[in-house]
Amino acid sequence: MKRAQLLTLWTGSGISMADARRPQIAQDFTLFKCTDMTGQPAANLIPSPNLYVVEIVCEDAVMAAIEASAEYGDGVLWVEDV
Amino acid sequence: MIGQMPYIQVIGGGLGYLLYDTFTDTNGTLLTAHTMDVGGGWTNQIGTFDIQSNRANRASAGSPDNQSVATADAGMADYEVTCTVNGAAGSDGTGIAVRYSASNQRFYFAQIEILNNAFRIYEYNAGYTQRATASTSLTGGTDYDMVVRMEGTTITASLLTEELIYASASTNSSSTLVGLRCGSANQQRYDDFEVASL
Repeated sequence: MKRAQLLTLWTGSGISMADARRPQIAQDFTLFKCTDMTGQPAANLIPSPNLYVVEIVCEDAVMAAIEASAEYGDGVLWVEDV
Repeated sequence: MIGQMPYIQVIGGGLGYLLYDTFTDTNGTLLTAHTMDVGGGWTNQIGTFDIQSNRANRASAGSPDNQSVATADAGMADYEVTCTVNGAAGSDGTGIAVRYSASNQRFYFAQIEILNNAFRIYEYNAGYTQRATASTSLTGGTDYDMVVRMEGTTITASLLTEELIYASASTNSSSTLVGLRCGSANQQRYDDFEVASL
């Protein structure tokens, strides 16, 4: 299992629980945990540029796929074993 | 030693709590008409709650967004909440609200989502922002003990083996209102609501 911090887009309108503003990476990959590390004020979401740092916990294979992806690979800040 | 008295601090009526409620009362009693074990009483902020089977129960949803929120005044903005939460099968949120302000209807909440097998922290500020999420297997109609610690700008929420930490909760930093928050499903219940000072 891996823990990592990386960049992701926001997605969602925030209008309802079902469409809450949330990290795009959690929609694209199966994660055990995902936490907002940037804390952008809600009044300024979704910002421009649309980008913020999250900390994730996931399976090793998922982390490998994230690092290999065109969307997220260059935005991985650090990775460690859990 | 002779002549020295021990210092004893009495908090929350002698029980050590800022707020405490076992929700023991007659079925159908509105939460606002119910007397807390420790505390000045509940206020329905959004929707309503009542008592069913000696538990706080979501009675009706309100606006905005078909949710329900009830709060009590802890008298301070930093505290630790412990509560048993029980969400119906398919429910989208049964949880604890912190730093609620009636003037701007902004707050944070930690909740279980039976529908999504998830434990999450949100900020509600003219819309929902998911600040932390953990996948965890949940069963509708089951009691779960939730702990939510509010200290400065950090929310720490614990459930089963999961712990979520969101460290940028700066909205309503002096608000002392804390309580219950759930979505629109029926059969969402709470027991043993305890708020202690840090």
